[in-house]
Amino acid sequence: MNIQNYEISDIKLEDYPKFCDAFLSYAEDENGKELTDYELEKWQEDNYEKFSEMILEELR
Amino acid sequence: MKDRPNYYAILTSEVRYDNSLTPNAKLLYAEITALCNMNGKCTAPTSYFTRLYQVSRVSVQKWLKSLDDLGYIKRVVKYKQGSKEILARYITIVNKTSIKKLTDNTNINITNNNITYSNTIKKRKEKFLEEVYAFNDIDKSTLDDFIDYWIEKNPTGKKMKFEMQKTFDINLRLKRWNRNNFNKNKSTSKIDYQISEYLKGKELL
Repeated sequence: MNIQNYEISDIKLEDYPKFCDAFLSYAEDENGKELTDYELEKWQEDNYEKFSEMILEELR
Repeated sequence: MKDRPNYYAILTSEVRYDNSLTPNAKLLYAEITALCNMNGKCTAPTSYFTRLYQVSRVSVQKWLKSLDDLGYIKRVVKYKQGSKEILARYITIVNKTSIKKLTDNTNINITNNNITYSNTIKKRKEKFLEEVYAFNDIDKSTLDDFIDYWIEKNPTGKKMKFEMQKTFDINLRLKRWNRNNFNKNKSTSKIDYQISEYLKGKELL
């Protein structure tokens, strides 16, 4: 599933590059529908590498 | 049942009547006070709360973040000196009233060091403003009216009106805005204003 308009919270620089507290707190699917908390969690688990890239992108 | 502390929980009036907090976040706060009463500080990991309340990890993280952001709790992470190895993590309850008293009489600044980088609505709004103001051949008041209209947030506050359109080409929208004189409704009659509002509504459909 592709997501858009996402929001990542709790990116703490102290534990770079793990960012173990960071989490996807908001996102919408391709149709603009808001993902539930369970869906957010699942997306993060299923797309671990992509999520790490997104964090780094936010920091740039 | 073993995981559930028998100690009483505290829900302060500040937290209880804070409209920015969800009821679940308030419940979590009470749970944390119970754990703090038992151990002095709350060392329970996020997974403990997810199991306890049978909710997703993200939900617990959101509640913790909201409590932290509003200054009701403090999430502490202790690192081994000179490394990124975590020695301890715990949550403490912050007594906001006593902090206020302290800061009222001194120059102590309490800051939240937890940085949140996100693709927030604020960021998206700034981008939108930048793109609209790039049309410098159109007078500023028109652009301002256009912006005011399209940045209105939805009831959840997560999206702006322009983001809720199936398509949104600023150039085309601005042209139509000018053509329909949407921004001139302030100086026109009530009927003109109502027609203009009707057209705006129609455009949204």
